[in-house]
Amino acid sequence: MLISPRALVRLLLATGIVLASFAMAQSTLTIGRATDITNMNPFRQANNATSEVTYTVHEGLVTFTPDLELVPQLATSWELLDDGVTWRFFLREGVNFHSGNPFNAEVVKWNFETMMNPDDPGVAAGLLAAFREVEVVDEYTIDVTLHEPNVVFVATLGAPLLMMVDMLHYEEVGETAYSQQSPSGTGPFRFVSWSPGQRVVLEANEGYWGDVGPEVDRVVFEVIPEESSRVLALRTGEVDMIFGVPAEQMDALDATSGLQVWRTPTLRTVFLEMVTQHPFLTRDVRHAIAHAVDRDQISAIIGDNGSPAYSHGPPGTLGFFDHTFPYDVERAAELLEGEGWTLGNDGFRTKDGQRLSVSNLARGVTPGEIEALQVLQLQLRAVGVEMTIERVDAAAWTGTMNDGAVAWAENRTVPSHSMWTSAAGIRTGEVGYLMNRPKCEQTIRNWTMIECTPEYDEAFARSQMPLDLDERQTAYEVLGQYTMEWQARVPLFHVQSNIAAKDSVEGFVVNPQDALDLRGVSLGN
Amino acid sequence: MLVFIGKRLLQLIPVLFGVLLITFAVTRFTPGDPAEMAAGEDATLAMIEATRARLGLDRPLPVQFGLYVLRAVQGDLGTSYILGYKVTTLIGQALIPTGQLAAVAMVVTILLGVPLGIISAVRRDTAIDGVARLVALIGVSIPNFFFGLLMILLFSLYLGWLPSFGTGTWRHLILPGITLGTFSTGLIARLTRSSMLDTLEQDYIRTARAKGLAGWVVVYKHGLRNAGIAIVTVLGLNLGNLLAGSVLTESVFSFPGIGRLLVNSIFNRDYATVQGAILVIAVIYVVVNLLVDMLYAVVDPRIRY
Repeated sequence: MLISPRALVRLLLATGIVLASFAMAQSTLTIGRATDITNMNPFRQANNATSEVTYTVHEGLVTFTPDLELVPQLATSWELLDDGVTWRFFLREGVNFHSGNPFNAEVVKWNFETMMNPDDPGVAAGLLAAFREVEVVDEYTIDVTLHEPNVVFVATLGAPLLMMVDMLHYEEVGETAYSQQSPSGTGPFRFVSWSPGQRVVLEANEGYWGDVGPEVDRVVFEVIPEESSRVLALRTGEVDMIFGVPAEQMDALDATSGLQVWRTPTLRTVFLEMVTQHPFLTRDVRHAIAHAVDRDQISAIIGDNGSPAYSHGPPGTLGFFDHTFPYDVERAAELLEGEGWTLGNDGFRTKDGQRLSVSNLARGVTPGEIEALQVLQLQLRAVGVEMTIERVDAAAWTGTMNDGAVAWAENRTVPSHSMWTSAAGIRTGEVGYLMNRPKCEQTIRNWTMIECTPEYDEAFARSQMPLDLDERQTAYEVLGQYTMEWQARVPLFHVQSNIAAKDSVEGFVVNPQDALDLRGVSLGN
Repeated sequence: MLVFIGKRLLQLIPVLFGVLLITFAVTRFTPGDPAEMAAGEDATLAMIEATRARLGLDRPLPVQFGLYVLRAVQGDLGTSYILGYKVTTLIGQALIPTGQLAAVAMVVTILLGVPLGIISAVRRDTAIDGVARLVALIGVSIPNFFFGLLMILLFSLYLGWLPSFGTGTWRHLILPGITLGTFSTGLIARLTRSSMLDTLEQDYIRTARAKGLAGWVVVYKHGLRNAGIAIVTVLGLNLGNLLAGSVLTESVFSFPGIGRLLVNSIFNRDYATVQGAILVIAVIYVVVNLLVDMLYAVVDPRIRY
């Protein structure tokens, strides 16, 4: 059968249209997460779920690679001036915000000043306490002066905290509109929409300045609070990727064809913490408790939720210092006997008619936390210590600890709470981020209520100074020795990040610092 | 009737004032500080104080309450501490999906629950009754949470017919609607059965049968009509429950309804949203009860107001 020329033309046209529509098909990366963002404003954002999104829209002056190397982002280089307290940043030229406004030194100055505004400080103000003032040198150079010499300051800027906000746009639309419906950054994706409780939609920033930029047209963050529903949504194919995979599902997902998983140790650590001023928790009792912890057993029970922790960060982080005691039940018993706690017939220790009973306040927000505490409960029972687990929500938990710390600081009130479980992550690549407490001037955050120790403060200051690495490591060791002696903060496990996705998701690398990076992530076939 | 409605609407005022007062007091005396939650984990004392002032929580409690009531009367329920949206906007956005879900659940309840109960009563102690009672028992016993996951497994994963989460189309409403409706379906089936059994034993039913009326006329016109009062009461109360949101069903199906909004706000100590949501839920309950009372007159013409 011959094809008439007209039919041929029609056929070619039709084929062309089909091909063109294939080429124009939007690629959308859909991610299922447990929690929604709270807003799109980096001055106000406060949690990981929020910064995963805001840090995709906005960028900082510097950033961390997944290997925890501090690298340039909107600053191309930086140097410490001779006065020892001024950091000079050289900024990237030719970068525009999503609104089209230019990025320059004036914008950086405004960002620092807005974040550090004493009347209405932004969320990162507490971490940038060393900041004093900022001065524009020229259009692409800026000087940031600190109160005291501090080398960690630059690393702090690498956390998803001080992100560069579009000054002109922010002032034009106002804080509320910026926070909810109109953020503008320099990041690889620009904001499209946010439906609270449901989803955030972003689209590729075609004019992105970096070599590695957006590889998908759209990113949708879906809120799927239930972990089982999240796994099912991945299995049905409704989402491409899920965060916060329940540990017990990891093996099954790994074994499913068409799916892939990422098991990544993070810089987040779960600690057993103790109030040192509690009448039961004297130094020797704390030491006994520290000896009673068997991390390997905890780790075996919690499986893919985490791995044993011995310091404020995993080995390899700057300042790593194993401040744990070896698992030694006999030594624990000896210490408790020494303090006058004698073993009763019921297996618990008593002194003056009082049982050695402590209550652990736990939020249960970190996967594996409650399981770990249940193992710990048995381990402490083995040495005659009764630990009850009291679950409270985050607000009540924070309130109890803050109020207790303030009451003790102000009138030496003996606290009624004794223990709690915390989870905290390093965001600077070194343990100093979490060893900033207890310092003498702290009241509300000195939850362990350790007496003011000037030597600790001094060592802490040295650890943060722009000295050579050996000297800083030495200072960190001093901090580690104190931490070991105090045993107020007993590391239990490092949290593992569990992510699963379809095989079609390519180029994704997990950053152990809770910083999401979607540059270069694509959807193959 | 109009006088009755007017009186009932006037009664709303003290009820809602009471709800406001209790909600205000409970939020204030719950441990946990909204300023701490809003300021973030790394906030200093000064930052927390600044946040407290920004949220207006540094004022004396009576002043806070007075201002809140004054604004609430004008329809302004304040701004969410955490999300920065107007509370009325957030509640409005959450009520739409909740209302849709409640409607589906209600339809399921009426279309399945009432007939199930009637069949069960009419065919008392037969195999049909046995099956119907078992279904009703499962309906009231199975946890929403578990049933919801089973529904997703079957209809989303294995059959691929319906979406497993989210909102947007009518297809998104089916699984959560049925899940939410299972409990009330079972409840209404059991209730319909027992009130029908009571009614069917009455003398007037015997009379109706004796004078030769068709079986279905007896059952529907004489039986169901008289059993109706109890069913309408429970359906009304149930509608109130459905509209107040079901946090478990909403969580399993990632449904952005008022139940989840309320629970999240409680965790964040977002007083403004908690107060607003509870106030709106209280209004819903009161209005639904009023409608139920008005329905009595329709179901039973002997009742007059």
